[in-house]
Amino acid sequence: MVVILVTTVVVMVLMRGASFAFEVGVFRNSRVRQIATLGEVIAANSTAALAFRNQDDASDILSALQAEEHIVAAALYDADGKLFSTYPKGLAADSVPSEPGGGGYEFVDSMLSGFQPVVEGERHLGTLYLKLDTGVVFQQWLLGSIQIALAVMAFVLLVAYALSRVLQRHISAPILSLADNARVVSEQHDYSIRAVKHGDDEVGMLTDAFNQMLGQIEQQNEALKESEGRARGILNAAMSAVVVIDTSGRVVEWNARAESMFGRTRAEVLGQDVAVLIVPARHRERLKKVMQMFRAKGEAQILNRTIEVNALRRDGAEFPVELSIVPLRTGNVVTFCGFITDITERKQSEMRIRESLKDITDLKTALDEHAIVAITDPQGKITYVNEKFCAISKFSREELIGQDHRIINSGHHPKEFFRDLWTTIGQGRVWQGEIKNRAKDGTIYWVDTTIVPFLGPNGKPYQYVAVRADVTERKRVEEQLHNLNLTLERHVAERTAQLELANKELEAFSYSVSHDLRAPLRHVDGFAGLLLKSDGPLVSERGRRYLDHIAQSAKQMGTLIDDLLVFSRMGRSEMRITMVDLNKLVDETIHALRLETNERNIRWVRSDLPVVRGDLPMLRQVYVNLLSNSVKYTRPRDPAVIEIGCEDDANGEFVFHVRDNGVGFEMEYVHKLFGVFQRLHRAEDFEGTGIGLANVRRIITRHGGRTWAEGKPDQGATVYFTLPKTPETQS
Amino acid sequence: VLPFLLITTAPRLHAQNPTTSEYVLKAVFLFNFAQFVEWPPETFPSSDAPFVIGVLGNDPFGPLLDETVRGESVGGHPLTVQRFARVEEVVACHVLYISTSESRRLDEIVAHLRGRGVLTVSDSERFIVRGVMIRLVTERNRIRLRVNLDAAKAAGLTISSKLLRAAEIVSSEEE
Repeated sequence: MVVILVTTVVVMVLMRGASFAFEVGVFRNSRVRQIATLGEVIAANSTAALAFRNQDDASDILSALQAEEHIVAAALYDADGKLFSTYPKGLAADSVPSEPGGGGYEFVDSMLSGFQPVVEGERHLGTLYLKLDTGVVFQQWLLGSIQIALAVMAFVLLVAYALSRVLQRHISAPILSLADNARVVSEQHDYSIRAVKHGDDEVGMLTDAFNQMLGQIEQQNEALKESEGRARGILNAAMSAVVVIDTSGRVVEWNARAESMFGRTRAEVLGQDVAVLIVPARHRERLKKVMQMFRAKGEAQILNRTIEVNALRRDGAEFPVELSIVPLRTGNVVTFCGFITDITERKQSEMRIRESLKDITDLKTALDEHAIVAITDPQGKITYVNEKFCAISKFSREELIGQDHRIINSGHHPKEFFRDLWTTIGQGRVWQGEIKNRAKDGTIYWVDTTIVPFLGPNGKPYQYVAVRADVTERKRVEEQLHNLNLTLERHVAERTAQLELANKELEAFSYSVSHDLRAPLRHVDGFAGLLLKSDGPLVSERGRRYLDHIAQSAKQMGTLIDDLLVFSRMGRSEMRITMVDLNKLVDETIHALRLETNERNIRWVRSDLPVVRGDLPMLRQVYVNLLSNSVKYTRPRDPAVIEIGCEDDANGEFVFHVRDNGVGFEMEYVHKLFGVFQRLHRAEDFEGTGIGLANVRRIITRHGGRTWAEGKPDQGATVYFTLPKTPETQS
Repeated sequence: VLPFLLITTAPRLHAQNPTTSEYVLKAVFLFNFAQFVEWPPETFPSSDAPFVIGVLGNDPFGPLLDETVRGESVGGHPLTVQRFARVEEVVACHVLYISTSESRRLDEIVAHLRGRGVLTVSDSERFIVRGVMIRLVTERNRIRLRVNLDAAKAAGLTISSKLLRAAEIVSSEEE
């Protein structure tokens, strides 16, 4: 409605404006005519005044202009152009032009002025100038004109308003609502909006058509969106990078895989030169040539094929890709669609496969060099043998392929042996063992065999690989050794029995000897004593000395026999094993020895000793013997130092020692130290029977220990012995 | 309404001294009379017969009159200037300036010219009362016209009312 009203007003104003312009023109023309007529009259009247230079007359004539109130100035010029007379009286000379101008009248603002020639007959006598102020007239005229125009316009507007109200109800409102809908649709791209139909007239039909069009657009939009979404989904789900470029090499599409593969986002690459983005510098020239060729011929060799090239990542790293380029023609536009797959891993695994194939070949060569190899099918038929197999079996390869291993069966192994073998490998487990085979020429040979079942996808073996080593020589040596051992063991048993018998006889002998020797010795000693007691005074001094020697020697011999009896008893007597506290034992022994040696300066040093399992009297004997020895051989020392200790050896043994600072010994005679009756010192220097250490060794040996000694002449000696640890003796 | 189809340019005259300036104007007046007075047709024997401005007696104009009318024409009649020593010489003349030197013979001259369609002009007041038609009156640097209308009418000449507006009308002295 506003439009209609505005239109009306504009039309009115324009029409009025045109009409006004025309009327102004008419107004002006009429003024010009008016002044021209006036000028002609005045000019005609003033000819004589000019011709005869009668200024009074000229003034009179010009005064006639008073009748025309809007004439503001007038002037007469003579034939020479000199100002002759002016109007009104007293007009300033500069209010009129100083010289006459050309004919005709013209407006300057609201002033209309002009020159009129004054002519009588043919005689030019001068010029008349008139100046008319049209302003007041014009204003009056204008005011009237505007009043009329306003009145007309108001009337027309009223009519237009009434008309537009009527029109709006029937046409404008539906169309406006339709336009409003169209605006909303185009602004918000919401094609689900529908216009409301107002009637069955043309506007109603327009509304229907509009709604139908919207429906179609909506459907097409949906279809387009779905199709675009699907295409983009496919594009981004593709495992390959998809890069689409135009014929000048600018990127127009770039999927998600391309983003991750090249490290560049879609937004950042669109419109960029693909060569700079992903093509290594050295290939860019080639790509340019391909594009040029395509532009020139519409064909290029590289298209529609799969090639392997290197591509460039954002960080400048190159990697191998598989590339196929397909030209896409959409209407007149050609683009190139590149499918790019990163084949770094494939290349690496190809490399690894090549390497491992070589490794396998090398391994097989090495294996063939070293071992006898055969492969059989699940039924045991030989499908492959190597050179060594042929060499040892003396069969040719042709003779072996297709046979089973019974061809080299020696008959040595029982049926169960082979049944076990087949059960094992049939279950897919490795079988290892030694098999005795027979060669073609009857030679027997042994092979150390490993059979590995190769399992198929179903877990069942599809072939067996048997790797064998020739162990015939080893088998032969083993057999010999076995035989030798058997003989040796028999001999040892025999000798042991003999030895034990001899030992028993010896012990019985020595016991009986010792025992039987005692009686005569007691007689010698007893009678010598009796003789001295009864006939002592009768016997000379020398005789008494002889009798003392006899008694002394008899006693010594008695000690010797006692020791021998102890020694032999040690070998035979039963051991009564108890827990023995060696600290207590050693302290008692030291105490006993102190009583005998109280005139000597002896320092006893005992470190802590364990409780051990053993026979108490025997172990006491050990320490009595060892400590007595040390007391004896340190006799020249002042002070004497005797040290008793024990080390907890890691080998499950206690290592005991008794160390002194006595006279020591030469290590080259150490082997004699523990022998019976073996003595390293003269009896004159150190008394003794030579049985003490032999007894120690025997007792320790019976306890499962060892004995040894270290020493140097004049620098003391150390005797070591060990006792095994038992669970109870773990200190 | 627009009677000015032919516009001719008045000759440019250069005033040198008051006397000269006076006669320049008088020469122009003589010429201008041709525009404001109608002569009987018989004064022009043919369509291209000259319009004659004559000077009788002493010529006060010198060359001024000739310069003023040179090349001019009135109604197809070329303007010429003739100088007469005696009135008897005046045969064909339309405007005749009678010099004051002719004062003694004036009556004779007026009588001679009566009825011959000659517009007589002089400077002297005494002349106009004795039958000369137009007197050129010099007063305060201006030149005024005095017209003896009766004399003109008697000569068969019609003087334009425009001219009469700019002139003072006098009558001949009653004898």
